[in-house]
Amino acid sequence: MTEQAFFILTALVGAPRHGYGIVGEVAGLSGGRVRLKVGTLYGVLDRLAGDGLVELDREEVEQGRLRRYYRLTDSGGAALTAEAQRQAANARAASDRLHGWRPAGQGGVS
Amino acid sequence: MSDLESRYRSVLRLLPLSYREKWADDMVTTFLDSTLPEELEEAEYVAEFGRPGRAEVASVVALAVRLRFAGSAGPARYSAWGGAVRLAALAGLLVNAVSGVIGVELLYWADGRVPWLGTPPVRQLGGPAQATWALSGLLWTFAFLLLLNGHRRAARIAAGLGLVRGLYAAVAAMIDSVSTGAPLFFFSHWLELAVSALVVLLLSAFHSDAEPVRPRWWLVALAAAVVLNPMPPLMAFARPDFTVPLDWTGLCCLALAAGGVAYLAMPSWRTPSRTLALALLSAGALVLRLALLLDFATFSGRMDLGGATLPVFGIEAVLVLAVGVTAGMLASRAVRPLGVR
Repeated sequence: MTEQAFFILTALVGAPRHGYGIVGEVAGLSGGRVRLKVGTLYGVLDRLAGDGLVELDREEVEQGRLRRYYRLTDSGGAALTAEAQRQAANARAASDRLHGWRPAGQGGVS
Repeated sequence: MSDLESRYRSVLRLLPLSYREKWADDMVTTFLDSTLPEELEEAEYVAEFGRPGRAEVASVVALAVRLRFAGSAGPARYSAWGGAVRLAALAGLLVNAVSGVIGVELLYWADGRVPWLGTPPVRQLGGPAQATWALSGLLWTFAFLLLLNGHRRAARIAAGLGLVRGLYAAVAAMIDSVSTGAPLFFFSHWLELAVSALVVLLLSAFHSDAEPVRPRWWLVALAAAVVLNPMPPLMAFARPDFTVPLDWTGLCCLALAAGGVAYLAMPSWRTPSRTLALALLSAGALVLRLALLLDFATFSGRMDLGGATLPVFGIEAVLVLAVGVTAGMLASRAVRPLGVR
């Protein structure tokens, strides 16, 4: 799973969101590091929808413009859970190693 | 519809129709939401005079490339185009990769280190500047090998540097022609550069959805070209007692025509992607062949070309054209009925 897909799925946890809402949520979740452009967002959304991980929640017309809201499916939730656990396990393994390690310059063994 | 929306929708036309029908309205809403300022007067100004930013346009272009040159999981027609473009780009890169190796071989030959090829006509070719120049031709070879190993971005960078090298050669040739009055191979230099630029552009079809390249046969092709070494025939034909001229482009045209005829004669080998790639490659080879023909036609009165040169080049062009047109017609018939959803 790409980082963009991971953040988009995370942005949809708990509440359906429209495109601009996802862009803002992803920027917030990533601390401003991942700023989705529209072409990128819809490329990933199309793939996630094709894989059944997200689906259309509802459509609204606001100021004459169509606004679609997307929500996470059960499969999307399961895929995100699996990916989050994988990343957490990776982070835990690195943290465990780093815990008892000091850089060579600080008296540790390189 | 505001001017800004109209401009953004014109960018979205790069995307396939089936994709636009599904996503375009929502994309426009999200784009306007993220672009228009909250303050009303400012928003009206941006809506009238604003343009989609480069990053937004680039993201749509990247999406269009990924969709139109799809991997095998995409719609059949876009998958066929994707396969064809990747095949043509790889073959184009292979030609430049072999050309880079030949450049180094020529350097060794000019330095007298390949005695079985005979005495080089110009010994001083092997100076440091020429050595650097010949070695820089290996950028294409590196790009080819990097792509085969899955380093797509690095391959694009190496090929881009190879393109800069070609640009330098074209500009240097123009300056040299102006200052010394030497014949300027204008069409050859610039059209060769344009075809190489197209190859580099087509490398963008190797995106994350595309299947990884199977390197084995491409490595065999490169190794065969290096081992079989196209220099001896080129050198032999360049000797004064031979009257039939053969150059690198001619050799490529003949190889493509022979391979193309063999491929077209075997219906069981044919796939829409391969046939389309053959048509694309034939078009590229024809452009390069016609370029040198145009150059020769331009200064035929000032140079002794030998009586056979233009007819031989003409025959090569006709052969490639015949293969290209046949492949194009077959590809059109094979690709048109394929679905786009």
